[in-house]
Amino acid sequence: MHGWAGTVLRVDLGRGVVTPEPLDPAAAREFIGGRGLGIHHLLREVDPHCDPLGPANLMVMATGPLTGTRTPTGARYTVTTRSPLTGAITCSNAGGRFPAELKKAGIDAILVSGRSPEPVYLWIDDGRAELRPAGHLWGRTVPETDAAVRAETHERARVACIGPAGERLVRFASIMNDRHRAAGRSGVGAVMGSKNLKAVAVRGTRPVPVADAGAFDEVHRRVLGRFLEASREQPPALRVHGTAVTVMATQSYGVLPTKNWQQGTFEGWRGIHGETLTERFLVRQSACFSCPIACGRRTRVDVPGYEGEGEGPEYETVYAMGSNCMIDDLAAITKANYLCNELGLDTITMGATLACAMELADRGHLPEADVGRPLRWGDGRALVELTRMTGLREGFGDTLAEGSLRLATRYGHPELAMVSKGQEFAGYEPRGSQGMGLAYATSPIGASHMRGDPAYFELLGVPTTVDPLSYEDKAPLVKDWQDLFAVIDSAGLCVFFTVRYLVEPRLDCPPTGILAYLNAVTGAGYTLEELVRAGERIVNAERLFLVRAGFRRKDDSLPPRLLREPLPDGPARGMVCHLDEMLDAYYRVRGWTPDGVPTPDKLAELGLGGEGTAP
Amino acid sequence: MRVHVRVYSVLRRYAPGGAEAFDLDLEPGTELALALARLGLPDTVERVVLLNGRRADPAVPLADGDVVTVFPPVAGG
Repeated sequence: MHGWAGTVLRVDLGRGVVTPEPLDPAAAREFIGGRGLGIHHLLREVDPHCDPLGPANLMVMATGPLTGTRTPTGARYTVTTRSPLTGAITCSNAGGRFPAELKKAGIDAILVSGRSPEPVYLWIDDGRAELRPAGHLWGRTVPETDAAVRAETHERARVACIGPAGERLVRFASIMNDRHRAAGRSGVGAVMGSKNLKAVAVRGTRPVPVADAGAFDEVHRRVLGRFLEASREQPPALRVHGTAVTVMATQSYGVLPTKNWQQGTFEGWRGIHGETLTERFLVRQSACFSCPIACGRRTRVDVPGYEGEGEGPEYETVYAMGSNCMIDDLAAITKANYLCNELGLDTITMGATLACAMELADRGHLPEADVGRPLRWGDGRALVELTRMTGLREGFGDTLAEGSLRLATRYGHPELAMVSKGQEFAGYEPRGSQGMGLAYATSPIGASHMRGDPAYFELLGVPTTVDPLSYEDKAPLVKDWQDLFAVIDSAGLCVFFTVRYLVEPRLDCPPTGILAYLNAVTGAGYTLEELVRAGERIVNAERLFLVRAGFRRKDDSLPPRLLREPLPDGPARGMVCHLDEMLDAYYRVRGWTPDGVPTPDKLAELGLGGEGTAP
Repeated sequence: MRVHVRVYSVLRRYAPGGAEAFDLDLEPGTELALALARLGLPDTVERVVLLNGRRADPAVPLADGDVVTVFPPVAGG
């Protein structure tokens, strides 16, 4: 095979056995790889009602066919499993160097099942794989684990691991790779911890075979040429200031979530802006494998009490820990980000859960004695201390470690948890970005900006512009965009480059650039229609898993605040999110019933006809 | 009339003195596109333009006190 390595690694932790299996070529073609391959295995092998933290859950770590190639941003892998935060699936993805290394070791995907009786790590050395004891690594932070595993294996090995948060089953623990990159969302790190798997280390030295090198070079010259020309005209904002530069955009539209989503603008926004990060803490940019953008931030903080060095923060982090908590102290946010990376926590859910706690305290529902300290809006010291305590499940951190829905429910006010399907939102306010509301509500993993992010066309002008406040026209746009993201995630690419340079600049977003790279690399001869259909197939397969787990229209929801309380400030003042109107149209364009269940006709059309909707 | 302009990120190099925010004095009824032309922003440079926090037609006439925001296309993460 080309592009695909042709091998998946079965890791049965209960028996301590690692078995290579050939990649099913039909599944690879229909589900592409990455996120698609993950749901392909979950649908067949996982009871949708299993305990997410029990041995019956399966964790799939899968690269795409473009991962490890010179395709721009061909750096990513996806972790698919049943989430301990939401009970839905999750498919969290990350870049860095680990995914490309895995492919170069000759592995497309790792399927982890069961539970090891003792802590172990998996060492893959150019395709030879073994489980090794990891008792001595248990309790170690991410950087400590990364260093120790490389010392025991190969200094140039790439490591994905959990920190103390994953070991302690924090429901939003991340899997960190290359120390700073996170498969952050929905508690994939807790699943890994529940299996007693501390780390996966890999060394791969074999280039990914490309089917048609001439065709690859031709498309590559064309695409990179366009990127370089645009970069000469103006350097990419993401390279210069990182993703936190987005603050100026969301603040300008009035969709920067503030004070646990009670406001859409933040008076202290300049303090958390990407330009401020550049001025105060940036050491240098960093790039994932094969990425020409380099949006990563290597930073250092010398502010007393917050000293540290690492990567970040990203936009989602400065929203969740910043405006959402009314904190404009970038030193505190950056320090809390470092702690999340070291302990293995999702920065979005961490910040959003703290914001929920702050509102509970502000309204008198959360006693100070329970927290063990005063908890007021804007308190950067509380952010840092409670982040550390959450990662270690110490004191009140043990409550925060359950996420905002369980927190708010415990204190009698679940409506104050700003979540969809139990997962906290990314930093775009749906009352001023209506399509975002529909995307959050229908995302298979709960609220996410990575499962089809209408902020691009509603707020950022990519690929073209649509009024963010309209809702009558959003259903087909959101559907197409979600299907596109499924293709991007499954191919092993990053959305940042792809949505601007590998997709036609039209709202129906035909992925002609992805198609050109994919065919040059794999030689599979996909047609455009087939590729678009694969995206739709993956989204429907994910929906099938959710339907079997009992999810319906009632779960495609947003908190009452976003549906009934008009936004009080900014350019979108007076708006609520018109979700119900959009949902009816969305299910129609999806070919789903009014209750959100894929119809037999739709499943048959996508080649999923053999899959029932019953568990 | 006086219009308030905000220019962010890498487009600040087109703002007077690289300032993030400044005022422009314009003839009453000046169109948005003409105000942008005053900045010297080449047509080839990709940008998102907002008028009072909303998308606006380039031909729309500006009013005293309007806020024009200009930034490059970016996306979060």
